[in-house]
Amino acid sequence: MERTRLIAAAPVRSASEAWQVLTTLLSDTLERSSSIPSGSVAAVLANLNGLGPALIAGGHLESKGIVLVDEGLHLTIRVLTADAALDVEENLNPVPGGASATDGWTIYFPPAGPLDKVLGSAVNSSPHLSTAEAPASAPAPKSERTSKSLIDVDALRGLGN
Amino acid sequence: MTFTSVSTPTHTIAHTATHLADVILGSIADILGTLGIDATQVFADWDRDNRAISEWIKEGSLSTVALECHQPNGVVAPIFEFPVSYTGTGEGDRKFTADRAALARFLAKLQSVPSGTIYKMFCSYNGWHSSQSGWGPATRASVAGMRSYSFGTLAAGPHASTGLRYFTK
Amino acid sequence: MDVSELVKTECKMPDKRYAGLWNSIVVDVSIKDRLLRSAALSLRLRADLPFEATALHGLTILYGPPGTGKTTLARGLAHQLAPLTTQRSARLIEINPHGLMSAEHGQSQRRVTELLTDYVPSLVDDGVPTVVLLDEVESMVVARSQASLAANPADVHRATDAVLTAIDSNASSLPHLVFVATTNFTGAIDEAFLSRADVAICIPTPDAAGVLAILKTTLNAMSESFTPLAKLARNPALEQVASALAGMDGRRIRKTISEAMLGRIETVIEPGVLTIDDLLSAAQRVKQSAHITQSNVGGRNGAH
Repeated sequence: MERTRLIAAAPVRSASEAWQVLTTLLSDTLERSSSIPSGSVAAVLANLNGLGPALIAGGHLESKGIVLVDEGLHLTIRVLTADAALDVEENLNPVPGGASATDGWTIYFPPAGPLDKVLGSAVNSSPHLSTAEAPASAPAPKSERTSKSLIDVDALRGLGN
Repeated sequence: MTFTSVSTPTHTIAHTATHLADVILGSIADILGTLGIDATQVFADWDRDNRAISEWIKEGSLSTVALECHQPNGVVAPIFEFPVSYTGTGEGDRKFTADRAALARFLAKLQSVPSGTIYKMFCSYNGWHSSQSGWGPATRASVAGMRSYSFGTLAAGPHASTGLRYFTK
Repeated sequence: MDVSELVKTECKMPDKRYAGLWNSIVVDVSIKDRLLRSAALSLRLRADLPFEATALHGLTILYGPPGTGKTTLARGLAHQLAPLTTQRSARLIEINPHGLMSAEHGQSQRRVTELLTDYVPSLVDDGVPTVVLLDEVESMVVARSQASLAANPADVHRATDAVLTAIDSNASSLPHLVFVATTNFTGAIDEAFLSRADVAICIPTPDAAGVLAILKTTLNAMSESFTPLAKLARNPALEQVASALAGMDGRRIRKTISEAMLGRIETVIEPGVLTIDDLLSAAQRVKQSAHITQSNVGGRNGAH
């Protein structure tokens, strides 16, 4: 399921604070998974410290947003500014699907106009970051993980006794 | 003493300051990116500079933020100025705006600068201003004799607005 | 209001606070068996097979008169499921449907969607089998065919749509989620919601044996503090009290005991001296007040 979350930047909060909110949302979502070490998401995004707020302040995450993609997970986060920020109803709860995220998660950044070149350099710092076009939907979970039995049949047999 | 009832603005000067500081610094980053000037320091100092500009707008002391491009041959051009105007009372109906589309069109027309050009950032004030970390006395380059172009209002809030002026040789 | 405030309860089982709920409700054992089996089967089939094969939405409806134990059974279901799961764990989430529908105008649909397709899925992201209780669900899924737009703003209709969409979405994407909806008024519920129920179970008022069992259970429970009540529970004349309470729901039957205790100052001081006569008198009072209540309430359409 494709999901979209909105975050308010200025005048509600500064671009730096909005970047921190975005980082926290991504960390809270992904690090519910046992495959993703605590603190690792923030560490990857630290490569964009300063640049992240600049993207927000320049309105470059407003119409397209960043897209987090992993198996069963497709999340777009847009950061709104000016009057649009005042009308945002934020949902900053972890996004469903994060608990089964894999280490193959990727964050796709949209075109950033004048900041394209510096962004392109920054994303090279991690395989989890990309400026390529984000996939339209999440890749399907691998088959060995889909059929996971919920009910213990032997315990069920005990009901019949 | 006379008491007068006044309507309380919905948004505070802090909101306006946050908005304008972000637009100014964001525009500076975009300008540097367009001109191909290394903006690493802008990103590294983002929080510090954003805090300073925001505080000065809140106290009404910031007059102008200036971005100077220093070419390897010593020429200082172009120069970009972001003048800040204050409305005084904070007009309740006035919205938070940012004309990014116009900025993008403006950036597309910028003349290129030679490789190796660096930037310097300056703030000028309306009288007293608070001391902010990382900012100290400095001398700006003169814009005398330069051609100027006024962008108009770049961004606005209920308490203040900022424009953009562009100076070239 | 943040949608997280609409979740009244979120609790993992086993939890001793919920251990006694299932057995505290006296109904025919076939009813409890059906409820538990339907939940277990839903979890089993939906984990292994696509929706197109099972047509299971993971939705159970418990309906019947007030006070018959629907909500208590639903709350106890997760505790009963826990030992049957591979993880030996289950979760109960209880939603406050009235909080959803009391939102400012135009917001109900958005809140329903956010709650059921985003917030609840995030709570169950760990894959633990979960029972989501929608108590008095008639306030959430108003029968669109019967309610006029004047009585029920379009927002309410859209909220019903949002619930249906969420049920459909979660049916295949969250096979470990089972919704249990309770209602006193099936006529007030949207037909599309009813048709999505994998099973609808009626929890009726207790029969004569059930009434007697409830009286005995309640007296025995109270005998923990007032020992003589255990002897009263074994008194054959208790059957007369049960006969006098025929047609009452379980809640009213239980309250008859305390109603009897307040009949004399002696039984208020020492509840253990309660007699069959006390109970018979109380039964008469309870039946009279039940008759008055029903005649004053008249017909309720269940719409907000």
